[in-house]
Amino acid sequence: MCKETSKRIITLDEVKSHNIPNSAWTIVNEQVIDITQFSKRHPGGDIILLSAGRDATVLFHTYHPRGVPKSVLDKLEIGTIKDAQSSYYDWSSSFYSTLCERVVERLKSRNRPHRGNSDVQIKAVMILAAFWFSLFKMYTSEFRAAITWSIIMGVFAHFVGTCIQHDGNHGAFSKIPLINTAAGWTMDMIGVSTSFKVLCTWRSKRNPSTRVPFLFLILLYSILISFFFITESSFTGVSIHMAIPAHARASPLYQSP
Amino acid sequence: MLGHHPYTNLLDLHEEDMKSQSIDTPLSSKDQESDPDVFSSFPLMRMHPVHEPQWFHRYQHLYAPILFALMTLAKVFQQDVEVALNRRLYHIDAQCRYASLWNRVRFWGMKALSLVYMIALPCYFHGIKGGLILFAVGHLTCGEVLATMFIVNHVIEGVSFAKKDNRNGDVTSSKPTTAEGVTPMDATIKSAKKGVEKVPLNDWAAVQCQTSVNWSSGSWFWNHFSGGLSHQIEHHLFPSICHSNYVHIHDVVEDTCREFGVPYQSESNLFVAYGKMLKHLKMMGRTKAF
Repeated sequence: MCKETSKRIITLDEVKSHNIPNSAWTIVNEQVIDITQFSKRHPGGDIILLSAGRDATVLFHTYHPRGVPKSVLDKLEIGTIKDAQSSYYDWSSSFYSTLCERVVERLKSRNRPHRGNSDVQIKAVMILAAFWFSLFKMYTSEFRAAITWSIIMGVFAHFVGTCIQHDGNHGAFSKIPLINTAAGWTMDMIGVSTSFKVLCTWRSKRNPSTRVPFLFLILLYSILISFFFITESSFTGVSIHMAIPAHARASPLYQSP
Repeated sequence: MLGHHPYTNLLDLHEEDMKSQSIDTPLSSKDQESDPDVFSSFPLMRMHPVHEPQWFHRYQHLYAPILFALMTLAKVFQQDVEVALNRRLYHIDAQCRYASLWNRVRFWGMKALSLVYMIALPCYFHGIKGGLILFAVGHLTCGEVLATMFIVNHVIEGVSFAKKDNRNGDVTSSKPTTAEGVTPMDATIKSAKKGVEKVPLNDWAAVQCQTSVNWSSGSWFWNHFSGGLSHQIEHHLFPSICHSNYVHIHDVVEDTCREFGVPYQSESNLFVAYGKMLKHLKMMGRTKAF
């Protein structure tokens, strides 16, 4: 009874002003919910902060095909929206809920987890390895062959985009949110910033886990790079210094080993 | 042009009006449902029927494949920097992201680091000219493949486009129609299974089906090759489900669409889809705005 009376009518502008990690409000259907504390225990990770300060009805429905108990929303509810932005979309039909039901059922019957499986993760390591390998070959091959390696590198950079970061930024690459973030970061690795989906997934400064994905990636990449440097020299018997072209070796900056 | 969000092929008429008068709608009053992403190449290219055609659009199907190659280069040097400096991407507020020092360090740090191994190291090994050529070749390849994979999913013959009329304060939902002005769902809804409730043309999931196209549906190889983009309908309906699952659910989605009378457009392969995409661009270069 007491809880009922504390709920109030909230305007869209008020919701918009709560778009920071320390005070994050969002709209689901007509309910305004406070996700500031909840973002820390949200099963999908703090990607939920993407929705701070805006209407997240579509995201809410489409990212939870198994549904979310109404009690979860009710516990977080702080009020109802007065002037929601008029939407183009209609949600009255049972078409989408039927789709969700059947798809969830199918995946269950085939014993497939919704998020990334070892198949996409093994593929990701292979793509990253191929990207760095072709980049390395591009450095060390003579110019004509280097052009070919550059084309191959470009193709693998595209695979990084479609097969790794895309799922990562949708939170679909792994059930561990941190690995999703790391997968999203591979976009920065090919020189393009992950600006789209994680555009607003800022992080609280007090959260030490922010540095982990970065360190994880650096570690992974250094292992991959060193792996290829080692195999290169042991397979061909040529040291990395021999791969440096003549004009570079002739440079006064270059110290012969 | 990367990524997508749940509001595909939908443009807000109010904002488009303002744009044509070169007035920038303030971020706070932008319609959060419209989709500027796919159509950000306007006026260079005309993809959405709402946009006014120009004389050079007659040739867009010829120069589009060349522009595709520039996609990632444009992103690396122009769009990313613009986003970081203006703290917004189209209508998406990025203030919160770039307000944090850590994210700014990450952005500029990763930019600098990636330029070291993408430009500086190639220049060191092959000379400045050679290094720049190698960098350009790599990026043009990446952009060409990436843009091709993305565009055929939404800008193609048979796909529908939607517009949202916000101008009078209330939404007049006009139904999604193709560039030819027909609504494929008008026909498919008639063949819905008897006794199934009627799906509105602007039902969220039905709009995803009307505005996305699959190619090589059901193929395990092409699904993995494209990171799930060959099953774009499934991807739009279930963005949080990993792409390796799409081959397991595409038949469920297709059957349910047929049952409810919702279109499910699937091209037999990427080449067919690419051809239809070019045909669409050619047509868009010659017809009037709707």
